[in-house]
Amino acid sequence: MKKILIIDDDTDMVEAMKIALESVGYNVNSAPNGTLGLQELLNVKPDLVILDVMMETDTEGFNVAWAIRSDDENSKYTAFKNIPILMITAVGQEKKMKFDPKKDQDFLPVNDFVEKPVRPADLIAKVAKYLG
Amino acid sequence: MLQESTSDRDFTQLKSRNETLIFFRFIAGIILLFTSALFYFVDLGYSSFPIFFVGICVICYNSIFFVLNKNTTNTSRFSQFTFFQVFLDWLSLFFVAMFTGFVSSPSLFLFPLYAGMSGIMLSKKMTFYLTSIAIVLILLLGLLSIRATLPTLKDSVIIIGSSFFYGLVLVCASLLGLWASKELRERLEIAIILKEQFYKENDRLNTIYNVALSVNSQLEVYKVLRHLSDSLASISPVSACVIRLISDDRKTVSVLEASGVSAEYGKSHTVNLADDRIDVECLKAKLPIFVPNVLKDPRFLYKNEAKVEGLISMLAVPIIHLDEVLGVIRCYTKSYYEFTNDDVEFVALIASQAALSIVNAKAYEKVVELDKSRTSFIRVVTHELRAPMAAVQSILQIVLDGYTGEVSEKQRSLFERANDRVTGLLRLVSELLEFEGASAKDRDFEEIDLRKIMTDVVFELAPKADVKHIRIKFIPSGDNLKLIGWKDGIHRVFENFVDNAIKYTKPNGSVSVNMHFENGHVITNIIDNGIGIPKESIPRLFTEFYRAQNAKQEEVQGTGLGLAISKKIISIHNGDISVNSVLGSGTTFTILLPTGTNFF
Repeated sequence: MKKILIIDDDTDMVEAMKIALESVGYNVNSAPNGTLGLQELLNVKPDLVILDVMMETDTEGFNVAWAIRSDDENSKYTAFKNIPILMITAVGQEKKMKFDPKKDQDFLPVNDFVEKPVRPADLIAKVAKYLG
Repeated sequence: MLQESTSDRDFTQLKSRNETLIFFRFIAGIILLFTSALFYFVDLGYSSFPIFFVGICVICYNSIFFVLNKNTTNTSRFSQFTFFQVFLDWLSLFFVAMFTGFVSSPSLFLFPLYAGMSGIMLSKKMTFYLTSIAIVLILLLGLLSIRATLPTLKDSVIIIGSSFFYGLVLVCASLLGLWASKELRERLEIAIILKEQFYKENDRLNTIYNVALSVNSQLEVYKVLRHLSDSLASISPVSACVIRLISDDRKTVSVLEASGVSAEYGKSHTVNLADDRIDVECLKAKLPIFVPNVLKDPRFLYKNEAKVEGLISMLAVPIIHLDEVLGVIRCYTKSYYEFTNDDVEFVALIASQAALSIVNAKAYEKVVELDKSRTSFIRVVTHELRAPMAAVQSILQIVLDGYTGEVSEKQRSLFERANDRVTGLLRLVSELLEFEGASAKDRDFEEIDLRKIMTDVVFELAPKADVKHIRIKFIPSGDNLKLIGWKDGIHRVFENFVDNAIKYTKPNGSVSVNMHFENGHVITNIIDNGIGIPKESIPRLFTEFYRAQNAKQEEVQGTGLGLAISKKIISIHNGDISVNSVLGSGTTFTILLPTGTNFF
């Protein structure tokens, strides 16, 4: 069974995603902030990470993503360097912009974006794309 | 400076006096030649040739003086030169008299005349020397007269007597000339002083005018104060100016601007107000303080520095607004100077302008700060609002999509209604956030093609128009439809107007958009044949949250933020927007975007 780690401080949001993802058979764990999220990453060893952009600070989500993708050889997260990351964001909606993961990956170390509010079918489709 | 101008003035005066002398001397020479001709043709008992000779001599030496006077620039030589001229004139007069009957010569009246003239034109010292020479010449004339005619004793006494008489008349004439010239000089000096005063007052008026202008047109207090201190420091006799501002808590005073002093002296710094007794006194008395010599005044803090700068006298004038002292303007002179009441009034006037500018600037800063905190407040609130709503929607969606089990029709309809309400609320929050974001300055400006953006917008909104069977056309003309701008912003603006046009047009209506370049602007018209806008609503159309009555009645969804956002984005591009509408028959929005604005 594939494991997914959701790092988000909004427990209701986590709950909603959890219900959707578990319904199609994924094992879902969660963490409420970046620091605990990185700890859970090492404990759970997930196959995919879902990250909220904004937790306690505007950039916490990005910082977690950069930590996972770090090029530093001594990084604790080297094993997860290439793990698929989905980022949950309301930014696209706010700026009326449509993310292009291929283009945005140059500066954002994530594979794809999930728009808030989450549509379960979309979320499942995007996760399935990376986990098969 | 003043001294130099005085000697300059003397120089030009001497030169013009010489010119007058030379001019009259030419006339005198010609008269002598005529006289000699008269003597030649009419026998008056005088020989003609000597007069002719003197006349030629006068014209000759006068020509030399004429050339010399034109080319001389050396002041010290000038007075010698004048002296020499007058001396030669006396000699010529002497010879003319000698050849026309000595003491009884009719030309003798020229002696006092010329003495009076030279008294007016020359300095006291020179007049004294030249008059002495003239007296000697007259006495010599008397002696020669006795010798030539060998008169009786009685005649000799008459000759000597008349020589003395002429000598006396000569002295009187010289004195008269000197007195007249002194009077003239005094008046001239008064005129010059008045002129200088006039220039000074004119300078001051100009300064006040310019300062008032900059106070009214500038909100940046530093620029105004800079201008003000520069102006003060450039007005004689002030050579330096320092503007000191008292902090709001009245504990410290900081040097804000300084002109006419070295950067080291004028560098901004802050001192405890209590330490500077001059400022404290100014603050307490609210009156100007005059310090005759800063180097000797125990209240003055910066003696060593002032010594280096050469500052001597100082006038400190409080900057007062509504009976509150905001700061102090200090004016320094580099030589001892007693500031007059006029000076004090002038600086006080400038100080009142400074006060206005400081108060304006403080008010402006407050407004900017308020605007900033309002923006960040709205940001925080909207984020806080949006997060729970996004969660609510996500949960509703999970239920609606059946992930939590079967949903009955009734449940579905209720959940959907709840979902719609939350969607509306979410849109409001997004637009609020966007409205605030639209005023932010740091945007990416790039070359954008308005034709392409509008094409995209029309393409995007075509399905929406289809639903209402509204025909939508876009007719661009010309190629010059590009400008440097904020792509997403302009996209949002076009989308907004076209979307509105579709929204407020009845089914089977039409929306047309045309775009062309004219006079440095891309002009875009969005024309619909919809419900129109009531006249009374037009002025408030671009106000946040305003929706026209008929728009609300149509029950078309809207937050009342779209037009306000559009207006903000257009104004970022220095553009303009206008509306023309007939209630019940349609509306035309016209967007003007200048192509020449450079945002880089």
